[in-house]
Amino acid sequence: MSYDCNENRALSRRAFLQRGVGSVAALGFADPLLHLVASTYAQSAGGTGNLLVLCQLAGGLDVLSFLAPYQNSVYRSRRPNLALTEDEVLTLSDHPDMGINTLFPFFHSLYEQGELAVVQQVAYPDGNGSHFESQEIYEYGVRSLSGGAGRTVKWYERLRKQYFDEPYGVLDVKTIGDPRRYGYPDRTHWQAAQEAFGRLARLKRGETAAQRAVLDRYDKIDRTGARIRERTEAFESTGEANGAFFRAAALASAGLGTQIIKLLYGGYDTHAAQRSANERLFSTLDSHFEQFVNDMKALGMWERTCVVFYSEFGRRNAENGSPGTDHGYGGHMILAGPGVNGGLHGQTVSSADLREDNLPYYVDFRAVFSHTIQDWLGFNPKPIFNLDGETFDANVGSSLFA
Amino acid sequence: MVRLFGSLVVSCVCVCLLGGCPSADVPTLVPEPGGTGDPIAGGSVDDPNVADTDDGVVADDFSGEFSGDAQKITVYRNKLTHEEAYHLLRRTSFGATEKQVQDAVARGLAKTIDLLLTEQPEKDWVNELAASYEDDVTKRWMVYLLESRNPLYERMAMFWHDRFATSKRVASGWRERSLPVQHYEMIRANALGNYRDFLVELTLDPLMLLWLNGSDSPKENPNENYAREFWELFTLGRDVLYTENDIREGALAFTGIILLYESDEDPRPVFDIYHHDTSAKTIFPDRADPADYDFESVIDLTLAQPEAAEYVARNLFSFFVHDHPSQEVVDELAYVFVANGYEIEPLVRTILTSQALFSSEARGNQITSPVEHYVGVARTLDMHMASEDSRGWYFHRLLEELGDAGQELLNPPSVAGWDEDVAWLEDQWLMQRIEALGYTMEYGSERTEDLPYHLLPPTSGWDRREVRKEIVYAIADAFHLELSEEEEDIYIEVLDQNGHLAFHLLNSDYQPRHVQEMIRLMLMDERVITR
Repeated sequence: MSYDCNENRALSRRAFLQRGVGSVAALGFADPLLHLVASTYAQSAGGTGNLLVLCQLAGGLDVLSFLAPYQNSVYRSRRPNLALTEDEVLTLSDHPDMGINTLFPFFHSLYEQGELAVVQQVAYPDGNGSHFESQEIYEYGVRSLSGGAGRTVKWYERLRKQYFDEPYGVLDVKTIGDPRRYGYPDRTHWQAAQEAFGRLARLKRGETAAQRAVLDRYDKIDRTGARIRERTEAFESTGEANGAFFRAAALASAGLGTQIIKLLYGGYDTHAAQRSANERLFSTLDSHFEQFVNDMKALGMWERTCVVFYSEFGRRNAENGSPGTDHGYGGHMILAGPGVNGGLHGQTVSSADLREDNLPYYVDFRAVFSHTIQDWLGFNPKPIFNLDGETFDANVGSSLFA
Repeated sequence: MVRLFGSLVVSCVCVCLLGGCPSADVPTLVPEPGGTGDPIAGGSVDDPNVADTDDGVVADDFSGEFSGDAQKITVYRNKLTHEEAYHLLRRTSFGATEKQVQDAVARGLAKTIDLLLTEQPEKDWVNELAASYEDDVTKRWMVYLLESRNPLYERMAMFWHDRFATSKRVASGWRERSLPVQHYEMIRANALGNYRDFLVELTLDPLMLLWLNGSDSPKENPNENYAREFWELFTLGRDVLYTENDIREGALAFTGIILLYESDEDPRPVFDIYHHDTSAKTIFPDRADPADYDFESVIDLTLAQPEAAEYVARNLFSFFVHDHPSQEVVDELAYVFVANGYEIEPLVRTILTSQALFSSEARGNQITSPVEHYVGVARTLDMHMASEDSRGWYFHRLLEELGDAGQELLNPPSVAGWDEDVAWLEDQWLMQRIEALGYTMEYGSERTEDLPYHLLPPTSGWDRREVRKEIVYAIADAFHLELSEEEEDIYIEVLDQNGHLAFHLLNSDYQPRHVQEMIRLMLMDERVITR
């Protein structure tokens, strides 16, 4: 090739930069191979290649309003206003004394199909009533947040680094937002700013830790952006809802070899007027989740999907005068999917449990995650949760996966 | 040993000017004023709730980074360099024009801080514009953020709003429509006032009473929401001092406040003794005897604990300087706070005139929130809400974009407010932030639309490469950026779209879009998004 005039100097420099950038990107993920590489990656590392969806219910889910021992007199006496009556539950055919709130018709239908497992009375030792402390304990997968490695990296990120260290392995819906719009929003015809955004991020080092964090993030957005957007633009949902579950389905459809999708529904901190709050919260969650399952079925992916719902703590057994419930302790974890061993697990809530201030806990949340990692994703969970100074009882008491 | 800290500061100035201030002894906290119970001095070492915090552990370990000047709250030299003045104004005023930077250099540190702390009456048009948005608190506050003559007061209001996070979402009824604006005005009025008075007003604030159920807490069956967050988030910090039992007892102490909905008036708080639990409550049992605490005496009891002053000191220092204050710095600042009767202004003054603020560790180490980023850009480029669009449709869209970028004022994601610094780097929020930065208003004294023409070279030469370089540097200079040759080339390529569209820069239809695109990209520079 030949350049015959000086004014091309700037262009040739740019072409050089682009080549440099291109080759760096090629090391990360060669486009045509990506799908293949990513999907076979997990199997080669010993994994199953299944998808795990983590749905955090932030604020503290009142599990006694989800799954009610509606005939229990202690339950009714501790919650004169909030206890669910027989009319307000869909009873479980295998446990007629228990019922799922009628606001959760889809969860109930999954239960009856054997695709919903409820692990009852889950928490961790020495409960902490702070939302933020307890959420961190669940996200980092450690009881003691002070000191040591692993306390700053979420447990599912540790899992990714350990077993399937590639860029799309774990996707957080809160981080990605709407995947169809992901990337630098350039408004010009030649997209020069979009291109410059990535070039600048790679050109500079940053003088402070904060500036380096900014540049690293820009680089990541630039590298992952186009592919996430292109692969989700054509996604069509089976429903109308545009919530976090819609975005999770779009990301799952992208075929990027993702093994874990994290999402969050908030607002469960129902200190007051809990009945009306739950009407909104529960029906939203139920319908969004139903749409997600339909989407995954339409994509042919439901068979390989497991969704785990969890919350930082349960709520008080007795209602307060507002009427709502304050921060409690033990709560339930809910697993959904064709692969789960449907039914009730853990300890069913007893009158003695209900006479306590809070539901106690019988199963450690890390035990539930450990079994999920082992049985559903096919990885050894020990290095993820057995950190220095961390011990927990890994026994759930029954098998969570069929 | 107890000594007056004020004189310590003054006596240190001359020493430090000569280079090298002898490390001050850690001042012991003065005995708590107005303590209700039986407080002990300092946190006991073997108390698992207070010992062994991150700060406590790291404090003795500072070497290299976050040592030396980064841990000195003695007064910095009065004469500021150009860069120091810009740094100070970014921390105190979101951003600054070249003229404002030069004025600060001419005034020196002490006078600049005096001026920032002296509240000026707002211009009439600003008050009128804000009022025109009626109950829309997000818009009203944004007007002041962009146009107020008291930027430090607005910045302090942002500080408290993130600590005492309260949401307009709970003011859902027609009768409650004015409560969010009342809440903002309460925060703003107390931002540099007396902390005890502030906590009383906060506890009685109608929006707060709805948000954390303070007025919905019958004495027979109290609601713990406010008591818990009062200590965990507002006054002591997570797992500091209080226990679950303190929360239950505290909830009883806060009973008795009700929100009265009378005829056509706004709801107002009333303390009704008949709704107050008058039993003896046991709160902080190691430190105080049981007593019939009510909301005021439980606030006093809390303030009597050294941890309360330390919490404010640590938070304010981190907000303005860096988030690694040593325990010594925290103790010294807490001493200033207590010795001044919990007045916030002297504490802020001490922090803003400190050596630490000008240390290298305090530079470029904070990631701005979307709102602060936008406001900083507007103030640096002398951008104002002058046109109908800027006050109307455009303004509306801007606030929506900032909300999608993660920050809608008076609508925090949780009771803990917004996660700060690196937590702002969620991919989707950054992309929305870029969108928000595309909403321009009117620039300079001429109030030019679309572009800050007052900073740019004459438009007639924009088809020439060397003039495009001037455009790039005009904006870079405004943000005190030094560009490498490669960066310069990249920005020029954005202006002329890789050389394809240089001639378009003479066309007024294309001009703003391409130059705006270049400016917007530069506004995302890692040195602009941080401060």
